[in-house]
Amino acid sequence: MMLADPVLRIRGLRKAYGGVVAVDGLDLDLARGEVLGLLGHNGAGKTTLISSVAGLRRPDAGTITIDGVDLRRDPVAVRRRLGLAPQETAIYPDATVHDNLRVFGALAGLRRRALRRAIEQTAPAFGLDALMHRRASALSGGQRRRVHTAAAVLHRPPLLLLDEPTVGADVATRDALLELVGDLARDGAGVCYSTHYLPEVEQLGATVAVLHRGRLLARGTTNELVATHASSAVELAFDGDPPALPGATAHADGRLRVPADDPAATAAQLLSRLPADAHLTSLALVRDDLEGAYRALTADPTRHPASEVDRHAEVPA
Amino acid sequence: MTPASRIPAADRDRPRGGPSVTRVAGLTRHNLKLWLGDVQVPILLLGMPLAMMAFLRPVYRDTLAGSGFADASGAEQAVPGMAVMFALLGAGILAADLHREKMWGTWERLRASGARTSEIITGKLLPPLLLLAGQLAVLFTAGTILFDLPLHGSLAGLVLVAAAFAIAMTALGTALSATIRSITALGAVGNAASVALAGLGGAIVPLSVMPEWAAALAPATPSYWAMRGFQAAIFDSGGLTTAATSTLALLAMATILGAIASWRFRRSP
Repeated sequence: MMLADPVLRIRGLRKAYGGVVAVDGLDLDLARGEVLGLLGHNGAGKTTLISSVAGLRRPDAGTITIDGVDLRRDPVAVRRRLGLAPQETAIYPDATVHDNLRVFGALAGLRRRALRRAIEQTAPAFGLDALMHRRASALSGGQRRRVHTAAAVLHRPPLLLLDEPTVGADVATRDALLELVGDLARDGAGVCYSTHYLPEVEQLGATVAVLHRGRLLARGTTNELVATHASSAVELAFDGDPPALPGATAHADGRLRVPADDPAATAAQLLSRLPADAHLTSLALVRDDLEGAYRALTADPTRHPASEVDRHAEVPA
Repeated sequence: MTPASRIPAADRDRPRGGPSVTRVAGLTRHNLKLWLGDVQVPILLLGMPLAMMAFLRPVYRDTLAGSGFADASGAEQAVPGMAVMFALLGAGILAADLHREKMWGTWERLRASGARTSEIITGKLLPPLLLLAGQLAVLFTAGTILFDLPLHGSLAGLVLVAAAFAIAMTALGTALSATIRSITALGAVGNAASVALAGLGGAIVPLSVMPEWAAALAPATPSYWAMRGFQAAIFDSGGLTTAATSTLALLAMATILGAIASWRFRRSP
């Protein structure tokens, strides 16, 4: 079911690089005020998706609509409705923090007084007010990351694209960034938040989209994904033939999965009963949380066709 | 960072994008500041050519005397020649600047901003164009004051040629950046190309004493048309007609180089 007035609507998006399909027929809606945690392994298509939405990659097929404007028909109008913080920190190292914010604010069309006000309001929120006259090259990695993200939100776009925004940030910076992202969403911005850190998604109270090999595996709230896909278990991998274990099922990659209410206790039991000739190479405790759901989804994606789990209609706007 | 502080609510009724002049002026001011803050810019664009003029003027005086200009001070070749050569090296700095924009990741950020492509290009290229024009103005003024550069021809012609040459050098820097993919290769190829173009165009050695094969190739270089236009104004050898011919030739070359840059940028990933 479609959202009535999404800030971002993607239909049938496809993008390939040579023979490698990065995004494959993807449909996705993002509501205003929603934070969407975009999850997936490296190479799953997250950055290609974000780059395509930002107009940096030309899709091979499909449509992208932002705030009601078709990207292909009016790319400039679309870009004025979004703020992008790319995966790699992208600021001018030889310019001061103030000059970095000023140039990106000006490019977003903020004029003198509005630009000054936007910088005065945004810099303290990102803890940059004491650093305004420092050159970016003299800042720590976390500070540069804050400048990088602040430059994306100066003009308060209705859609914010944050590609792994907390990479390299310390704990305090990460917490504050997450709080700011929550604030922006509460103010009505739709936020597409790509990350490998699942606890951040839970901390944000974000909805989740799981990508795998360019396809949407699952879409829903954290609770829905956990209820549908996560179950606590112990997963074991062996060198050579795995031994027969009671209740175990085999993954496509050869790992054994043993359902368990208490994974730690079950793991201890299993270890004590393993045959002497079994060569255990890894053991993982899978809990019924978002990480468990993510692991289950990406371990065997063929078991989870997107149509079965695309439950966006139930996502609160 | 202060989590307690909050970003104030967005003004939803504000029109998005603002006027074009805001974006162009913002990007131009920013880039001008970066260029002026780069220590190599005043050294390479002004300090070195002035030093070279001082060293080479006596050599050129003798060379020009041997070519029939008995009253020449040597500044007639030293000033335009070094101005042309170091403007060519300025084109190399521009090419490196465009490369750095990609290395910093800010190029993608500019492309994803609300600015049109034409606004980004104007905001990026206007500062080096102004600096190259300023470089030529300072070097010719300093040449007149310090090295007794005469001006028997048209000042308007000199200004016209200088403006067209600055445009051609901006286009050359952009084309170099679009064509050469690595900044290391750019450093080597850019410098070699600058010296080769300066040499072929008669900026290092007067055309009258250049080998025949080099003189035949000279009209294919922007430096040749710049030197021809500048020396027409200095010696009054053709006046405004020669200046206009040089200006048109330089603008034609700028158009070709701009087209090459545009084509290469469009083909880049």
